[in-house]
Amino acid sequence: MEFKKYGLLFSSVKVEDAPFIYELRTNEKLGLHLSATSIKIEDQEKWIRGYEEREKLAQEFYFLCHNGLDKFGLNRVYDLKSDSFEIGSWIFKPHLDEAIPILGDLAVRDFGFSILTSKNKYCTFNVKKKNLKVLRYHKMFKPETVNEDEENWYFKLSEENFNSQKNKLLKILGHGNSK
Amino acid sequence: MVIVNEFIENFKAQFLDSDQVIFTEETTFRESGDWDSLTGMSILVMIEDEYKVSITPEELKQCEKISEIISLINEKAIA
Repeated sequence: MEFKKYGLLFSSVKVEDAPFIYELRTNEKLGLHLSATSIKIEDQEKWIRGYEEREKLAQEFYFLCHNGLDKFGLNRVYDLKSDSFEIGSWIFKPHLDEAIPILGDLAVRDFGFSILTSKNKYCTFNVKKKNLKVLRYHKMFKPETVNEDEENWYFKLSEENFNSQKNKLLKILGHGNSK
Repeated sequence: MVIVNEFIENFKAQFLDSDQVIFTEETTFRESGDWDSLTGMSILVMIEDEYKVSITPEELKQCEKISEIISLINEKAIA
């Protein structure tokens, strides 16, 4: 799977991307709020092989965001149902142009909503309570809080609320007329 | 015209570790506190919401000090 949006390229993750994923997920600052996973590249490669099978069944889409030359980051759509998907694994290299991680998030959520078949579409996601910056970002979209536990907040975001904030952010980011 | 002290307070509020950082007009903000792309985005949204002025990421990138952002907002507000 590959698509282009907001001037960025999104390609399904491949086994050869394992070192890049490893580099991001083991970055001391970036990995601070990630779910615990194996830190071996070999295990990452094995996970990607499993993912490739799930993608063939259209169960999950794990995208590498890049420009053809440089790899920027990752974002994933999974737990797909007719009316919803879960978004997660959003992680981008530090010190990028400020717009890139945001556009990477908007584009992949756009993709997620585009493949749902129901009328009332929504996405779900969870954010670690200590991950205050990401919480603040997501709350700009006015999601509904559906649950919490000691570590995480769990949210549900309608397509309508997503599109409303997305259009505002795209205008600020200079992509006001992007499709 | 932007009220400088008010803007600095609004700007500071976008930093989650703002209690540990002192901001003035001359602060080189990328070297202050816990700056990252999400902080930058929050600042752009705050400027749009509070001052009704759109500043692009490219324009923000050209600014090093808070005073330069204030000047940019004032220029755009007049234009």
